[in-house]
Amino acid sequence: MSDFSLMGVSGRAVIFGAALLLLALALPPFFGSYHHYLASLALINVIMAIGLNILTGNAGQISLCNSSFMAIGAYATTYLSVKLGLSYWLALPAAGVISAISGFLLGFPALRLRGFYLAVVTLGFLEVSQILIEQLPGITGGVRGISSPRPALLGHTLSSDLSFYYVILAITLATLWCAYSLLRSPTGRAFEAIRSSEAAAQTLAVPLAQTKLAAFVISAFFAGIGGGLFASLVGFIDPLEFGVWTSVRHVVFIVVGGLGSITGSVLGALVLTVLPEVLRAFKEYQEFVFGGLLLVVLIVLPHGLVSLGPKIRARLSGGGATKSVIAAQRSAAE
Amino acid sequence: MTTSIVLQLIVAGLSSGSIYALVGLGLMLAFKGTGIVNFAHGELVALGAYAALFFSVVLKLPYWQVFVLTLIFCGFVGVLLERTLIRPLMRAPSFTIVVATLAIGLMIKNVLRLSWQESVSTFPTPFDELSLRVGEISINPNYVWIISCSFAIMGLLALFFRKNLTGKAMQAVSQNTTAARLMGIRVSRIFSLTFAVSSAIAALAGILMGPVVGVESEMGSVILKGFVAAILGGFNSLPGCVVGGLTLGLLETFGGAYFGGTFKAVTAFVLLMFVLLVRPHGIFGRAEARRV
Amino acid sequence: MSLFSIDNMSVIFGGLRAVSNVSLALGEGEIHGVIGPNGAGKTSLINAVSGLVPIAGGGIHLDGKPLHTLPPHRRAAAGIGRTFQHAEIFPDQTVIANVMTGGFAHRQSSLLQDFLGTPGKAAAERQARREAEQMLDAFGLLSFCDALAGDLPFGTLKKIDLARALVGRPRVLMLDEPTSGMNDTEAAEVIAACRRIAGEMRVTLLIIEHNMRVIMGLANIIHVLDHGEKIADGTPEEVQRNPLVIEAYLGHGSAAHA
Repeated sequence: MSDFSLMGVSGRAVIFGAALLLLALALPPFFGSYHHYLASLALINVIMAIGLNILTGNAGQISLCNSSFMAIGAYATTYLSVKLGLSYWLALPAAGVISAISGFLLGFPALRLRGFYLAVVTLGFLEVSQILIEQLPGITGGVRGISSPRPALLGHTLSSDLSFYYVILAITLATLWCAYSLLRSPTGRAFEAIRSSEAAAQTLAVPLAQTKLAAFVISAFFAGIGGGLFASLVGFIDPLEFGVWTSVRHVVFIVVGGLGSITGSVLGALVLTVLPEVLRAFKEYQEFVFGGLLLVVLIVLPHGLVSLGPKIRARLSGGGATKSVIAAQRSAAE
Repeated sequence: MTTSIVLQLIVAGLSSGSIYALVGLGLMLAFKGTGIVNFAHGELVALGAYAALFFSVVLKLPYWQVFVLTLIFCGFVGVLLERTLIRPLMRAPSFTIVVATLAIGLMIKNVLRLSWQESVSTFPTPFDELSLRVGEISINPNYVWIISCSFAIMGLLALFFRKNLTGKAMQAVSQNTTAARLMGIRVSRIFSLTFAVSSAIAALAGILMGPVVGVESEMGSVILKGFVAAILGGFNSLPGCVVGGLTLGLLETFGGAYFGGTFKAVTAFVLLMFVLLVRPHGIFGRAEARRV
Repeated sequence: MSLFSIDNMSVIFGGLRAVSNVSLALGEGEIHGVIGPNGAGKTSLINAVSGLVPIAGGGIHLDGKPLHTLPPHRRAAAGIGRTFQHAEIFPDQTVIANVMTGGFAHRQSSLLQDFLGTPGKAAAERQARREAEQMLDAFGLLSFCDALAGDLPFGTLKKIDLARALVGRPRVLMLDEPTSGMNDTEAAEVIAACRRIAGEMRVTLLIIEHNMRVIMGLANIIHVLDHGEKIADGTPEEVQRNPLVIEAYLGHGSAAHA
């Protein structure tokens, strides 16, 4: 029954995903407003993680300024809907586009940079965005922040956390769809190619510059959408939400979850949003723990949580499928 | 703009520029010695400031003892870091290095934040009470101290790397580890020594910065300015880094005075982008193969 | 006028002339070999044709049109393919994904379609996968479809590299030591594949080889490089008898592999 495949994803994974979806749809009414809020936060982090993982995990471009694009999305959504009176459902995608354009602008100087230099430039971009947030109080409310109300859908304001949760869930699912589609496409393969070997990529007609720019744009778009949702969920945003720590958190999501893997993004974001809430008593130490966790994962499980499954399976079956295929080939040639 | 203000701006600009140059030098040194670009370097600056704060305010030691003790302490921390965390990173891809050193920095920052609960503090220097005048113009003596101390240390470093055997050994190690080993140089020791000196320089920046800008947990963000200085020096040239840092300091200070706070804040980034796009190997740097 | 020509090309690395005024002309479906002692400039030659290193003088033409003004990815799109001495496969990707990447030049879906996951994109993806599977099957690698490329032995990687380049439907394919690191069986497979590629697919081949037995038996014309310059060209028989060639190989103390 699980021998089919949907868009290249194995039958087993589809069934598993469908089961999760069912739970995500059916369970929430049995929980309280706090849980809805937390789940919404977790889903927004999933969107952030997916965007960053495409840029860093798949396309190999290190970025420390994901929170800047989140900020742009958050403030743009708020400005467009509150100050300009646009419908939230227009403001949100528009904010995503604005964020995407910023990603494009950052992408340009980033084209010629790699590794450390790219990291430094993205760090600089982050600093500049922080400063601009503070220095443009007309748009952003400056250091004091700005409030961002819940949108209305079909006449009803989505003030209940449950109703907004379902909206965020829908958008997260759309994000997952796009990400899965992207990675199983020529564009997705182009991303992986430029990460693995720029030389080989170019000789296969993959344009380095356009591909990198595409990765920055898509990543920024997702971050912008996530930011817009975040603003309305939380109701109030200020520059503190979008600093280095937030960017680092996103990096931790994807490293712990698994670089280059959508499942990894989901896993990392969900686990690392829920866990700190569960361990709320130790909130003071959260940053410290995240830092330590990052180091541990880099040393012990560099391919992230997603690699745990295959690793355990390989241990149990004593060597893995690949070796047996090679052995079969060799005996056939004899 | 009166001469008085211009002179004060120059001194202030050179002062902050010297700090940036020091931070950049520490970054460059760690990179040349171990191949690691240490994104925790800013937190090592903060560590220096906090250590000095502790020695000065809690242990109530005189400035010169604070100075020396802090440098030794941070050098030690540097060796510890190098042996435990940095050494295994040396062969990792650049993404891992960036993220791992960021993580280390995050942990250091939080240790500092949690152990010193007050938001901003400062500690005294012997120069606070001094009054310095050039004609009618009054100059902040701390600025002068920062400039002279920085230049003295940078001069010492320049000499060290030209004359001293250990300095030459560090250069050899940074250029070719295998050959260095074959020549009998204790490569492991050199790595630790390099990192110790790099951390001590960071601490020095912290000691000098602390009294002037205050000691607070976000001080580490000065790393970006250090990067600009180091990149202007092509991540290679000591004089380039110094010129880079001073240029940034002066641009910021004068820009801030003429064009306001926003200008001042984005100067670093603009300068960074300009250099990276126009002259990526820095002012004095040579275009050489980099371990990027 | 030949299909593809390298005209008086020079490549300079830090003051050293890696390639010096080299010219070659290739016709459709021909197999040309490039041989020469180590350091003769062979890889630099095809790196320059690919666009991975800058050309210091001279040019390249395909169908009479200049290619040397184009960036690497455009040259590839125009029909210049290549393989690498060290295979340069993508280790974290499956074999099939590696090979499918080769089809980027003639992909049927736009970035937007890829992002939105339209039915058009799904159809294009299925087609691309079929093409890649066919190519893998031709190389006997179909069973490795979903294996991670990084897990596989070097000889297999070279074949994957070749399959990947072929999926791009090149008109001129440059192979950098295609049989290095292979045992006799694998090398024979590659030689047979080259004959089919040139004969049936009418792809022009430019092959760098160190294995004399392989290249002498395969190539129509052989070009000999030494110290960046072309010192001889001609049929395998002519080249083998050429005293300059013999001198170049013996003089450098590296015996021709028999």
